[in-house]
Amino acid sequence: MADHWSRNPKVLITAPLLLVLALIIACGGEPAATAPAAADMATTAPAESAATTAPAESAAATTDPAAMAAAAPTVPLAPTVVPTAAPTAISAAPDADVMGKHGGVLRTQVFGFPAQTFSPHVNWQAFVFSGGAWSLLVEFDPTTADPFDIRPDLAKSWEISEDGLTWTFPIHENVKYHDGSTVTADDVVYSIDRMSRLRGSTRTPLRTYYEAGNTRAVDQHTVAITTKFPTRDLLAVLGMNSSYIVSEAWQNSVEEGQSDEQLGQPWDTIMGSGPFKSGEVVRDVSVEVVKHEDYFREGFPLLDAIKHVVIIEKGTIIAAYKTSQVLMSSYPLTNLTTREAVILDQETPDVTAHFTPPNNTFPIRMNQRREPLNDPRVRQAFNLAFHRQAIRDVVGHPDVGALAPPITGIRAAGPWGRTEEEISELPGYRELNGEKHPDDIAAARKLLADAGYPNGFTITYLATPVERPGAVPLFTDQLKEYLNVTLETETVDLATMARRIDARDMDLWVDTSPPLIVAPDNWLWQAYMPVSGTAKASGWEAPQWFQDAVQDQAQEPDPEKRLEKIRKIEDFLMNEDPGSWIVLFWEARHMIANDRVKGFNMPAISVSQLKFEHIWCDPC
Amino acid sequence: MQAYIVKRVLLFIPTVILLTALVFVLMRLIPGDPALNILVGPEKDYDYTQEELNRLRAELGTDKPIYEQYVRWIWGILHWDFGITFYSKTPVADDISRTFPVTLELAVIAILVSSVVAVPLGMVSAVKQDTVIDYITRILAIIGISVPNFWLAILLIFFLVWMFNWIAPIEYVSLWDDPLTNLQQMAFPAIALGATNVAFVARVTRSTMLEVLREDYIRTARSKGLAEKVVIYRHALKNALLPVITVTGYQFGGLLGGTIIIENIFLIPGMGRITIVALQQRDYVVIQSVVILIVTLVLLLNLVLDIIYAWVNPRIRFT
Repeated sequence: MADHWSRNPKVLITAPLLLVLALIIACGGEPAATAPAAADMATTAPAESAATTAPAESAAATTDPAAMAAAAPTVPLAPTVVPTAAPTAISAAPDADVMGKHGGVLRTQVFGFPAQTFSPHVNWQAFVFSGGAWSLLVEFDPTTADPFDIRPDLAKSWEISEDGLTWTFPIHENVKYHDGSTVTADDVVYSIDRMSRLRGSTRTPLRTYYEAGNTRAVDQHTVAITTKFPTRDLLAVLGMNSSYIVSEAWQNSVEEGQSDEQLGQPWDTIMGSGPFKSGEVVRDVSVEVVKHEDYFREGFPLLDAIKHVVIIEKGTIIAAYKTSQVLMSSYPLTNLTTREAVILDQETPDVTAHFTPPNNTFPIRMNQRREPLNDPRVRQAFNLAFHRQAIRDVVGHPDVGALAPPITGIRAAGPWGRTEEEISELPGYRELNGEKHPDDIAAARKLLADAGYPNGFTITYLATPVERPGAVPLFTDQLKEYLNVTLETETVDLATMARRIDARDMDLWVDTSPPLIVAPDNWLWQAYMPVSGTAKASGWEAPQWFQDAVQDQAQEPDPEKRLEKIRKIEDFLMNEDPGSWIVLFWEARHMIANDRVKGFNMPAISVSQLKFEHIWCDPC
Repeated sequence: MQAYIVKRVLLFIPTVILLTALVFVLMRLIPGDPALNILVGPEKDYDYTQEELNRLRAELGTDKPIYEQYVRWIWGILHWDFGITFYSKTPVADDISRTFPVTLELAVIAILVSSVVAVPLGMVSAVKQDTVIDYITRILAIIGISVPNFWLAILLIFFLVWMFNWIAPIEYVSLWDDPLTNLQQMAFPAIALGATNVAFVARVTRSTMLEVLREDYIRTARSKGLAEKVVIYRHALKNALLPVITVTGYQFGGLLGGTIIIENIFLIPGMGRITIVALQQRDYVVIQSVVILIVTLVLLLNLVLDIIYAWVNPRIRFT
């Protein structure tokens, strides 16, 4: 009779269910991810830390376009005659109110694992994990709320020659790599030349201004970079997260015998001079960086380590943020859409979605190698016919996306951009009573008729499983309603899309925009000039005058005249031929951060460096 | 019996060879080019030349004739060399050694959880045939079979966050390092993974129980005046479980494959994680190695089950 209970069917059914329930309750009682002792942290987090928490609060307000407009354009990145700015001094040690709050492991969410290599200068996905491992000559100042400030990093300061061509950077003398060796001017020369030599659009901005071989070591701790023409935008390029300074000896040792097409670089070989060095890595799961004890900025980094956890599924990402299993994003890209990030922010009291200014395009691309898109009139008809406001509101979010022309939209309310009133009057952007403006529809239909398609046509749209929700129905409806063009959607995976684009076997598609920096001429080079991957994929060949104008504006010293030249190029893209793609709206990139993360300022652009040295958590 | 075993083993070998060829060819039929993926990269950067593309294809070996690639792959496997991943350039064998135990643990827990729930459910359903309990159990079984496990997984996460503002720790710890945390991490994926199995096994248990309960020896046991519980547990259930165990064994292979999605949702660092990434990247070497490993395991399991079944039931080996 000892096993009498086990013969009772009721017990047999309820016992497993109770066990599961007990497990849930037992687990639920345990606070998630509170690795460091909360009590210890509490004693080191006085109320006067308001200054360091302020960015989080102010960033919350960045969902307001007006606030973004006020915050963004404060840097003198507007056209200048010859850059003469001197760097601001950097405090050698952390502020007093930050001191004493060191320690802990910050767990972050990252959207994917680097597919190929951790090699700097090559794979931007690697920056997501290894950002803290490297140093740059200059960096976007992560300690200020002004996202466009540039400050020296390895450089102590900078000087510009009278002709505006040569930049001289004295570098800190006792900067150590993770292996204890010293950073030298030769390493800087090697790194800058390597960046300009490697293929790919990440390196395009540097090549705009610089030709390999024009950097030299003045002495062991001073470098001089000579540009093709006077430009202030060099600093922004050197502050991008692809501009890391690496040890020549080390880089040569890990690349030995490898081709440039596939530089494989295991995580345990990472060796920079940044605040964090490589720790444990589990492929496709997580990457850890740990404190570099000999980091040249005294007192930094504030954290003991950062663990970047790969979370791809949206539901899991949201759950991880809501339950504080991760405290922030590693990078201004999370796998959540803008709308999802906004909802997460609104639903979760201690989580904030921080947005960059709207400086990434949402473009629809066109294969111009075959009919009917080989006709600029058809392309322009599409450009006029899309109802951009509706697309922005559905695909993006009305509060964090901006309608703006294709080039100056980089800083929608900044010195390059036009006012909202101006934009609202532009063909292709204007509305009448909240609807697509009838004049634009009429003009688009006329263009299509002139091109020989008065009754429209059928065209293929190549979609991927990661297509933005709502995009395809909007494209389909708008083209049908305004132009009688039938959009046939074909959904393929990303690898197939690459294959189809390589074979030029597609008509329309949406792809991510290339990395962006803050200067319009770089944007022009990345998206419209013949060397750009974007132009190559679409087959657009910029007219010669256009190419000359792009070169010309970059070298124009007078800001007013430069702006005029840029506007002329932009007017062509808006009124005659949209070029490689049709920019539908400008969207903001986002990062999610728990309120426990302190000292975090949202980067201005997705490719600006985030070294995490000044960030801490209370508690981690 | 020996002749039966030899016959089954001899059938096993050509089946595995055929499957390796099938997996290999199918992988090559999927559109997409790993070399192109590497060049275009996550930046979607089409700034490459045809020469660069050809050079990379040669480096990866994808420019070789398909039969040559196949022979090299099989030769490697025979030497326990699954090749080098296209992307991270690490040995695939290392990835499999790291991830396979995790996937195996998840599948084992899922099969245990599902068996513990399914057998009593099926038994009660049979004993209480055509009662409310039976109807509820059958409805639950139909739902369990119908609901995709990835959807159930998402619902489980939603439920946990909504009810308890909690999910299991996202950083995986192994069973040997911290059993309690490991079980927290494995419990819900196992439930999601095993739900379909619960439904299926419960239905099989119910039908076999009903069959057994109508057998003459059960009638004899009852006529002898044995208590109903003794009849059910000692005589009916034991005999009804044999096909249930067999079915559960076969289901195990399906569970191994099912882990691919579940592992990604619950952040379990098993073979499913590397498979999904490899599929997106067209990393043939990883995908075909994982697939062939699972296929071989399932075939082996089936072989063992067939032999056990033949040993238990002599009629099998004489048919």
